[in-house]
Amino acid sequence: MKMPDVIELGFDNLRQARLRTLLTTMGVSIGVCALVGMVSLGAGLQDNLNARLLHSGFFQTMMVFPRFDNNNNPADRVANQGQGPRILDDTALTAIRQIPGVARVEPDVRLFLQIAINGKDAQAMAVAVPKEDGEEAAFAEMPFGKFFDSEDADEVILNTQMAKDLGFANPNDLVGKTVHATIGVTRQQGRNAASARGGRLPSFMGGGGGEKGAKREAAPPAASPAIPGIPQQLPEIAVDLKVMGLTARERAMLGNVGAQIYLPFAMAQAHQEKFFQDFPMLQLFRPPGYQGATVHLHSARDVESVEKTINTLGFRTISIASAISQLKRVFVIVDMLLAFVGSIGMAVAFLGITNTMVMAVLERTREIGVMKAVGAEDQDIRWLFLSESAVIGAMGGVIGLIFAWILGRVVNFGANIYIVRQGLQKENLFLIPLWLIAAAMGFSIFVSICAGLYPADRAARIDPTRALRHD
Amino acid sequence: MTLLEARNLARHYTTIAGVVPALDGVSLEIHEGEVVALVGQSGSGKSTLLNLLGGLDRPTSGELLFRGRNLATLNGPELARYRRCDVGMVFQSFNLIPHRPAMDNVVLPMLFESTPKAERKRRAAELLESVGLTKRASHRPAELSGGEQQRVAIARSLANQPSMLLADEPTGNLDSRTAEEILQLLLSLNRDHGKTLVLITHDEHVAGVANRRIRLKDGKVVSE
Ligand SMILES: Nc1ncnc2c1ncn2[C@@H]1O[C@H](COP(=O)(O)OP(=O)(O)OP(=O)(O)O)[C@@H](O)[C@H]1O
Ligand SMILES: [Mg+2]
Repeated sequence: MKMPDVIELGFDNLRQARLRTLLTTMGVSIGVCALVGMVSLGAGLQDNLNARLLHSGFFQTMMVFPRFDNNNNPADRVANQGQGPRILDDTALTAIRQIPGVARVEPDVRLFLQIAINGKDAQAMAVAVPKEDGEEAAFAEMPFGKFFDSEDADEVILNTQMAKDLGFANPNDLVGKTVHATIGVTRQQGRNAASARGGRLPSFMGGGGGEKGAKREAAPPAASPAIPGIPQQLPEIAVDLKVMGLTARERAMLGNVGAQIYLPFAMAQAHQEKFFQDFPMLQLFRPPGYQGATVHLHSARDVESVEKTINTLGFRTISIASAISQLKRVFVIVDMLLAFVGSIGMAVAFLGITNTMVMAVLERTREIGVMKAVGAEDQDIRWLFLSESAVIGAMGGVIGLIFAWILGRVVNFGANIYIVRQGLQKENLFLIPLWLIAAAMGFSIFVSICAGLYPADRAARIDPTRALRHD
Repeated sequence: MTLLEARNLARHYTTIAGVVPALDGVSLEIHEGEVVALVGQSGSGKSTLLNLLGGLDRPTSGELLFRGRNLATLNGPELARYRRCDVGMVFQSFNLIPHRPAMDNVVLPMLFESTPKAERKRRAAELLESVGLTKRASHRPAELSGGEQQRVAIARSLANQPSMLLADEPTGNLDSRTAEEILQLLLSLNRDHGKTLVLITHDEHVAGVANRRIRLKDGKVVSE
């Protein structure tokens, strides 16, 4: 018997028992819907997370620091299989730039800034941002203004909170204004000790602190006595910066935590150099080379190999790649759990199909006898019943996918009402990728055929003389 | 020429009550082109014998040769092919597929023979015409009279052009006039198309038109 004829006959037989076919198909489609719903929820969540993290540059960046071998950090000792500790200077950065997979390397340039306008001021840590980073979500999706024009422009990007602190109820009013910035170092002094200029050791890494109402003029360089040791007076340099834009959220990037002010890279670096030239005694407290650098990769795939190479060069690295791989493992488990819960529906559908087909075999025993009497082979009968369960599986798969799609839309709609009310961006929580459609159809048909195996076998083995014996 | 030959054919049914020797050492020959009537009391083993001759069942022991070939040596698909192409079966209760129109019932044996679709349709229409049922082609069995149903069954039995028709009380469910029509139809197939005819009957008149009658009693041939 030819396959198209088998399937045609199978369809006809299903049409014969419409209600039963419909009910069984519904059972399968609910199973498929549950399974697809669960898996697509998992896929949607994962996709959201991936998209956010990838967009943020989280995956493709790592921090590089000089290693200090005098501590007892076992991780350092493990990493200490390459060269000994090295100074993170321009030579080292050039070496890192040549590692395959590295897109660019930028040293960390941080300045402590006090921003003042209209008699109000605020302080924060400023981070130098190269123009390539303008594509990052934090800058690309700024609610006000735009990114820097060039790397050495006297421009600044603040955030909306700071705009409020500076007295701008409508943050947009601050865009385009010129603020007065005082470049200083971090001071851990009390707020009211405005006159006591004798500072502590400068720290370029830490944030916070600072004084309210500090002087706006730069302290003259000549005013600092050139006594090596503790500086008598805190050096300051003033510059006017044009506010280009305001960010709404923090940059999701390693090493930038706490930063609220962003400066064009070359401009910031030039000011930092000038700062140290003007106050040479500060160089004494500054460890040689850079305190850190950010390494951008072309692809997150290379994180591990690049990290290893940098470690053998003699530097310490921090990336969240390892944390992410952990996260991926968690997602596999979550997906499996969701699929398992979804599979319960398919298990029930399996029993439903088996039941329906066993009933059909019993009901059509005589018919099977007739078919055998007129020349059907056992195999023909088996295929006939398998085709019926496969058709149920296919129809159930299609309807189930439609159900899942509708369910996904409804849940998305409902969830987004909540998400938008929370002031967040709309998300696609449900995602039905093409592979899932194919897999769901395949799985549905496969499960249905498996469910039909036993009934089909029973049908194939019916003894025609018995089946035809009595009326 | 011998078409079918049974040698010491036996069929024993094993039931919870014990072994039932429904057929117990039957030897006979059926020649090409003849009409044979199988007669005997109820339970004598006529249907059991006919099912063996038609390849619906396998004997417990003994040999059954079709054109000299032992049917016992055939595997499942080969025996199915024998049923499909060498034999046509007609039953007392017609045994049509109830939810399919007459046309589809006639097409059925050709489906299993993988006959091309157009050829199937053409041949089924031809067969229905030859039994005078062209107008009933799209009717389901329930919409047909007993005589019409049996005509459809006869058309179906001829689908793959078998050389032999086996009929188990083909007129048993019909009134005498219709029974006579069906009998004449079967006889005409023998006369005009040379189909060998083996039919089971309780009807003396039917048995009378046969070339030969074989009487069974308790699973044995008692007279020819
Ligand atoms: N599948 C079976 N299992 C057990 N016994 C059976 C089976 N089929 C037939 N028999 C027994 O075999 C014997 C012969 O049965 P068979 O149907 O061949 O009789 P028959 O001559 O066709 O009778 P009838 O004229 O009533 O149709 C009977 O005693 C019957 O009970
Ligand atoms: Mg009988």
